[in-house]
Amino acid sequence: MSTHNALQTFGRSGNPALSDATFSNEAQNAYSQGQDLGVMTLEGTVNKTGILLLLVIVSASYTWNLFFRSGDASSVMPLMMVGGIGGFIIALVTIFKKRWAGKTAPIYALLEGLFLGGISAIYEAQFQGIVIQAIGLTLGTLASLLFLYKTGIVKPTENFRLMVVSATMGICLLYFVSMVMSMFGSGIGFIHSNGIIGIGFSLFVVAIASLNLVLDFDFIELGAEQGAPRYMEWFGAFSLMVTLIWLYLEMLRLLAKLRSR
Amino acid sequence: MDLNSLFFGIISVGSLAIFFYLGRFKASRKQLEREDRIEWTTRKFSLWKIFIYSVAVVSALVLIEYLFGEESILNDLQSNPTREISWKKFLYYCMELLLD
Repeated sequence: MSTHNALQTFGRSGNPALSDATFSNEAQNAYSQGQDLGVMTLEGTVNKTGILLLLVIVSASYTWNLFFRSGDASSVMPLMMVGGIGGFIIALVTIFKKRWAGKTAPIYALLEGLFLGGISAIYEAQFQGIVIQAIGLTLGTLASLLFLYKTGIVKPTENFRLMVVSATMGICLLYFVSMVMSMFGSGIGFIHSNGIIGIGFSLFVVAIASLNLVLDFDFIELGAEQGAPRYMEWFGAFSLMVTLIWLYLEMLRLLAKLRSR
Repeated sequence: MDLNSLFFGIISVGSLAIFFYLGRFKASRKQLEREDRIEWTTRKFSLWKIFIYSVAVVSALVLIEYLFGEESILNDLQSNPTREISWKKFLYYCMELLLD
């Protein structure tokens, strides 16, 4: 992959769903095709984020209830796999076909909800009360960082972005290597351990996921400023959901490590 | 409903309310009108630089585990102070970690 294509795909936001050419390209495409799609607004993006959150909750409650009715993880595993793998595929489709975001983003939310509901139920069965804690901390982090961004206390700069993107990619690299090693019966110990290093690692990952939210806010702000087409609101909401889901899963892992000591 | 659910439930609902309220407003002038704002239309850092920094992050994490992990060389030194830290041992430790 050439540098140009890679940067267009992954861009400088830590979130692979957002690239630096995303909004300007989409605006040009819509304009050149004579389409009057309205413009992206912050309010529209926020509303669509709310819709996606609702869809996640609806599908998550299905696998959650299924687990607790049967009392067995194997009853939700197939749905979790469908949700996880399907969600990943849909996410890739959304990244490469942004115009379809109005249709693919809700599908993504529903599929990821299946996965999140199952995994949350499994954690809740082991550690009672952990899920509401993780939800509270995730949404609290979202609101706090939004406040810090809007007021200008946290200012994303080029160096900030480089650090966050690099750290995100480093974490992805570690997880990928760990996943490959687990297929051979091995693994990277400190990622999953509940010792000081394992907890420190989880804290680090939570911090990086949180900082990715700041990059997402800045990118969405730019889209609204540049007057991107209306369907980019769905894309902005989708990119926020990707980061939020990652943050929630990491919060769940961190709390599980703390509770298991 | 127990205290845990009540407390974190309130935080969740409050946070969502803040998000939906604040999200509609443009960021402050302090945020938008500054010189060091990211220029999305120019490429400042190459993919190679990002990759090198990522590898540096992974290396730092491995080093921290090596120095401060449960089977760390420092714990080893405390019980056997005459042992020396060598690059060979560090590399061997990295391999052990990966193959464990």
